[in-house]
Amino acid sequence: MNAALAIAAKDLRQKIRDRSAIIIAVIAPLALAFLFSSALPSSQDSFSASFEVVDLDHGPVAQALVDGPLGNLSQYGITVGRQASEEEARAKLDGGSASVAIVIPAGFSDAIQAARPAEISIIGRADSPLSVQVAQSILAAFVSSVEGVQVAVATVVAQNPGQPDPQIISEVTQAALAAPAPIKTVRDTTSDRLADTATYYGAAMAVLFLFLAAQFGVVSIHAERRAGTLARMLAAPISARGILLGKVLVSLVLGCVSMAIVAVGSTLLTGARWGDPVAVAALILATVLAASGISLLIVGFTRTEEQAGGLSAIVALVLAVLGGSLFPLSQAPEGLAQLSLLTPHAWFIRGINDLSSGEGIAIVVPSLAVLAAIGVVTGAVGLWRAQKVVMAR
Amino acid sequence: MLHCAELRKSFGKRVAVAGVGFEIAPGETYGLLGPNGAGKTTTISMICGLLSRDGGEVLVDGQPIDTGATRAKAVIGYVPQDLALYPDLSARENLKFFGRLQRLGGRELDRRVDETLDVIGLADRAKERTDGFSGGMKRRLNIGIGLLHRPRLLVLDEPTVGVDPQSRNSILQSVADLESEGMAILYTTHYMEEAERLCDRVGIIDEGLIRAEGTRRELIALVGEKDRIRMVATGDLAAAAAAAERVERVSQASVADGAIDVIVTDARTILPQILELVTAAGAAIRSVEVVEPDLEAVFLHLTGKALRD
Repeated sequence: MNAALAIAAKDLRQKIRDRSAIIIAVIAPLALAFLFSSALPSSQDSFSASFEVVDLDHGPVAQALVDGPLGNLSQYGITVGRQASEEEARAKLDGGSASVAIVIPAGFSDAIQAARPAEISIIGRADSPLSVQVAQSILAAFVSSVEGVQVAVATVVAQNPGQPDPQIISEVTQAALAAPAPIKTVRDTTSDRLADTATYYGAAMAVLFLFLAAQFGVVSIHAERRAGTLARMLAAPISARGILLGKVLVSLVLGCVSMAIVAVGSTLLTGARWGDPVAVAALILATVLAASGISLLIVGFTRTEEQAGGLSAIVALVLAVLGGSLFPLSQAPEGLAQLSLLTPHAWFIRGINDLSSGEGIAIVVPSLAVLAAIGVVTGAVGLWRAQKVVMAR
Repeated sequence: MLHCAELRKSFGKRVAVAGVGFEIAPGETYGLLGPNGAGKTTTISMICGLLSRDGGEVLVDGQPIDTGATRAKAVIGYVPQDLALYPDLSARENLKFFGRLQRLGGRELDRRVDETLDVIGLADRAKERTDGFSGGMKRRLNIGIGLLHRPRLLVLDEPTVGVDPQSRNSILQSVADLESEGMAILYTTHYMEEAERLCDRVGIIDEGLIRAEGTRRELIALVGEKDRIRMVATGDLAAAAAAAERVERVSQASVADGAIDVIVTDARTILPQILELVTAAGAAIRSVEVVEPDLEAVFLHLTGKALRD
């Protein structure tokens, strides 16, 4: 073990003197995380739109819609204006100051109260499909409560055959609109647990460059062979496994330091919110273990520095693309999202996304388990193969 | 100190070592002399446990050595043919790193490093990165790393290849000093002069086999080579040559190009008698050169080819 520590200490000293390791492990991921989170528009942090409402009805149901669902949209970044006519609303759309117009036709409330079909128009700008979808969702929810009104009115009419009292109908309508929804849905899907842009890019760049930094440790075994120092090590009282252990330690230390600095740096520079420190530390350790295992595997199947360096770069890039380090997997096709589950990158980013909900280490246990499994399996196969590489002449 | 027998190693169909065996006693320097590709490096790689062998055995200080014999390797100091240093580390850092691999630490390691730096003459350059060193300095450091842990068997694989004459002389003197301290030394070279100067016994290796083994004198005697005395002289050279030829152990005396050439067994002991007779016969001697048969001649005799082929 002492010999392995001596190898690790010597390698780390060399890596510190060789500035390229520091650039790849620390400076590049921090710089790119800062650049991406500053320059790219956020798809997760905020949504803004401007709705214009044209109430040609002025009845109680229309009022309930305007004051209720449409009146509460400002908290979601949607401004709601009022226009007197559809033409005025269309002018706003054409002028670009509104993205959606909602037109409530005259007689809308009467139709609802008479249990007749009614309709509301949504006019959207062609370049604002998301705003139109939001408006449709809001109105769909309102339609459910309107159905309740119609049921209540139909019940009153059935109990009072002949001409029902308009006052009673109005009261029933108000009561039905004010009644809370019998079923309340609670949204708790993984897509809801998305880290903000700064955190996502911090995590994505950290794991991308981790795989480049990890090779500075294990892959250097080929450089030792070329320089003749590997033979000199093997002539000392240390086994091939001990030498590899020293190299893996370098990958682990470099990887952990790199990711920890990027986590702290992105928090300070870009306002990233990584979540519970203990859980983040566990995720970093498990991810570094996976990266070191994969690096060891690469060493086990290559014979020269050039082969290992080239293969490491290819593996790092492919895993980054598949694993969501270059763009969020929420924007990826379903097939790619499934494929990403084979990569440590996806599990690390998923863990960071999970932590954005504010929960502790328990929520990242699945990610930790998969990352550790990747590290153990690739590390075991890599160690078996790499020992042969070390002893080969 | 070292016992190896019937060492065999093949790389595919190519037989690199075909049954090499020899022994080295404590305080003895054994030279493995042979041309490039003779099997020297493969042999010492097996002795140091760097290479698995196809057959045979290696015992160092009574302990068997193979690629997995981690602990037993501690008694061996290995100096590879190529420089095995870290250019971005200083001389001291290189020594300390390899010292730690030899399980040295603390003050003992610092003391050994200081001693070694003195021995190899790099104490005043200890803190400098080795990529700024001359070739000779790197060679000396390369050897120093092998000596640091005071091995009982030092294995040097052609340590003077590519070294300037001054550094080469320094290296050879260092090796001679180590022998006097009781260290067993295995020295491979294809320089006949080095083997003659340093080694108590020499094994002549070619095509993976030890062709002959012994002291320099034994090897020369083995092939029956004789010394040659060349005397540049004036006067009656023919009479002088005839006088010399009558001396016991002189097999031939002849005159050519103003010089008398005498072929003789053990020239150094008989030279005074020959000089006296030649002078008495009327020759005025201007210079004398004694040319003894060397290991190059032995190698040529045994293998039919020159060492530097």
